[in-house]
Amino acid sequence: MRWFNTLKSWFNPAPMHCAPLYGRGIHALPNPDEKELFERSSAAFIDGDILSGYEYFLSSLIHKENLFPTPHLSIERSEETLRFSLYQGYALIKGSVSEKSLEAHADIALSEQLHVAIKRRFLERDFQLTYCRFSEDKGTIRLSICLDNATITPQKVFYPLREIALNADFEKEFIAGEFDESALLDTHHLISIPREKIEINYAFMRQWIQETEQSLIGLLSNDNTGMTSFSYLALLLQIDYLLLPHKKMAKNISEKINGYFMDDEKLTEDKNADLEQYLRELSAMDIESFSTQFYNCAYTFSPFEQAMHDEISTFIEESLGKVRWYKNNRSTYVISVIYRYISLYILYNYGLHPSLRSLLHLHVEIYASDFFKAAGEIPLYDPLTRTFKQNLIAQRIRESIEPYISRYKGLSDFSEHLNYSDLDHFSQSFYLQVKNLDYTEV
Amino acid sequence: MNTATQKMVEQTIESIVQITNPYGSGSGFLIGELIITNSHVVSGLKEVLISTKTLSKTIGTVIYDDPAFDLAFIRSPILIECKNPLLLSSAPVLDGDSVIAIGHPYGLNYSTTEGIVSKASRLQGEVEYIQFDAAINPGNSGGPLLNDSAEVIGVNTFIIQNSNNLGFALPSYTLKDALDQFSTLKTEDIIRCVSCKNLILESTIQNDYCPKCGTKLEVAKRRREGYKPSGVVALIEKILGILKINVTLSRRSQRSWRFELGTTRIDINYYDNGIIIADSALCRIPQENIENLYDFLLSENSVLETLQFSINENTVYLSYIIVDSSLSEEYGTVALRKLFDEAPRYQKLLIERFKAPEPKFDEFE
Repeated sequence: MRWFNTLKSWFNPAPMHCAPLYGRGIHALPNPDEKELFERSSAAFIDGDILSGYEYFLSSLIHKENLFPTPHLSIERSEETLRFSLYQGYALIKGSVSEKSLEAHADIALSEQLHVAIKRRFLERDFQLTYCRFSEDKGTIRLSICLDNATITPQKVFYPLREIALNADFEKEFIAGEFDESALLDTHHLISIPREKIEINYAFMRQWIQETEQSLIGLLSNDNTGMTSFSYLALLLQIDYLLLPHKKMAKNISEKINGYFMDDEKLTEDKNADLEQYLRELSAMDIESFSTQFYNCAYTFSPFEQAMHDEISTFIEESLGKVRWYKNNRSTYVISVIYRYISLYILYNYGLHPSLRSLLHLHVEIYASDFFKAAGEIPLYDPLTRTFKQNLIAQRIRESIEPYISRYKGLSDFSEHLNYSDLDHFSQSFYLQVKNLDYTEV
Repeated sequence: MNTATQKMVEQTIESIVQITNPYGSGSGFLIGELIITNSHVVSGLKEVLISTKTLSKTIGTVIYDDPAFDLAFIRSPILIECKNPLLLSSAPVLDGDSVIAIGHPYGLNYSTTEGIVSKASRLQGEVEYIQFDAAINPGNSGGPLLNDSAEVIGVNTFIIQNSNNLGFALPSYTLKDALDQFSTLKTEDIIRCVSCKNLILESTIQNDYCPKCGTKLEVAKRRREGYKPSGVVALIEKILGILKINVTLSRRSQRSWRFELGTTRIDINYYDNGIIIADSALCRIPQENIENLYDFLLSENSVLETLQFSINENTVYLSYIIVDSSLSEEYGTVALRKLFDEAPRYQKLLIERFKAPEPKFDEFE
């Protein structure tokens, strides 16, 4: 029997689930022993073994894969102390734990070179933050936390550490986007993107903008404001997800997308005009300026709280309702735009379970097959022949779902239920399947 | 409002009382030496905080609680003297009469609104009320409804929610009857039974049952139990007690405390998300030398340990922030003591060194 099982595993290798390397957040899967390490940390804290508690907890944060030359989180333990450092985008957090306390900090910038607006901002952020605070010491602006270990638990370490990490990254990004980034400290870990990749990304961005502009020619603005919005928003979401800009470009894209949804006073036509104007600016950006907006870096914490699947299902349901409305009104152009928009919007706005993130990334990959082809991947869809790589798609779905089937009630490989007759039918069947996944734990 | 009315309001204000307890706040007014309010304003407690234009926050004793007519009488430990004491009107109230309501809606103290009697007698259950259209809101409860001679014609008691100015006041004749019945007993700690309407001496009540008719008296139970905070709220109050803060006087609600240390105000709030913030608004941002002030605050943040400076809108705060599950008596006492010591010192320093204006406190809370 054992011999038979070995033979079987050769022919049906266990699915290899990998995290997508695109979009905001961690490009790695969580530690497979996360839960166990968290529980061991809790037990160690209860036993009064503080340093072991921290060691187990910090180990639980180490991702399954590491694509970077240095680990995203390093732990160094001696008899009386434990030191650690972790990377979160632009930020490097260094910490030291003793029996009594945890102290951690991120060096943000040189105080002397900072604009008064940044200093004001730090003091205002101090009013909003719960665990960490900005301070200035010997010319350095620092974000720091100090935790007393008297009643420590893994949860009481997690939230402060996440707060300092996310905010240190966010504030450094903010400075880089708004003011001279030369004042920023601890930036050596940022990895520059090869020139060739920058050029490819630049060409794709301009091509997508041009294609979107072309597609909108002939649409009467009064009748098609919704369609125009979907086109522009899907494009901005795609630029953000696939190219992953930082600094000013990321900030501007975020402001444009959030501004669209949050400004209730502006007419949709005016919002579209804003988006159009910004896309023109992006199109006119020279490659040198474009290249300054990119770097690669490791993340320890996800910037998102994991959303309930019900929220995602509701969003898909509502979006498919819009597809039906446009179909009934014979506005066929926008239908494929909405299908493209749905996955990009979810990936941009929600914290997702790794399997769901992979599935939605798969949808993005199918729609942007030429981009992935240029990135050296096997394209999953051929726009010329309008054919899908069905076996590869099915395999990717299996890989996304099978590692989690035993843990969740309603997860099953749905690749056989997809309609491959064209992109629109594929998307409709794909989203219906995704919508019905059930992430209730067994 | 004409000049005569304005003068009348001015003379009346001294008799208006603000009443606070951990469950909420309301209004009241002086008739003789007694403070009149609604039963629901005192929330079944024996002690509430009272304050007037001339009396700072003081613990008042609820000596009469009457849920049947929604009335309560409070005794102030300090005599509140009024130059123009309020009187109960004996004149009949007629539809269309002008009325004025005074109180503290949503804590906006001494707010005055005027209107007319919409219907002089409106029956709700067994009790008659005056319906009027002067705007009243939560916090007005227990305040007086006055006629144009500045006499009390009723106690503002309830509104119909989401309506337009449908206010109801308990008529002054009902109040007068209650006052007369109460004064004939020549004793305190009286509860009116909601069923038989008899006045019951609290000491004669057994197991919260009315000794006359046997009805369960909810107010008796509440008065017996009193306000007993538990968990983190109790811990915060214990720490305040250790630090010699009068907890009863500083309580603004079940999860909020405020007190002054000299000229420095300290606020402590325990939010639903589990965060406890103790802070002090020290000063506003000056018009000059601002960046130096920022540098100073950021620099101090590196040595303050448990405390931190921050800015919200135009005000500089010194704060101690902690998650409830991390608060311990020892750690919390040390941190709050430091805040209480450092806040007045820093306030003086910021005002002197940076010419920062004193803070302004928002009345909309």
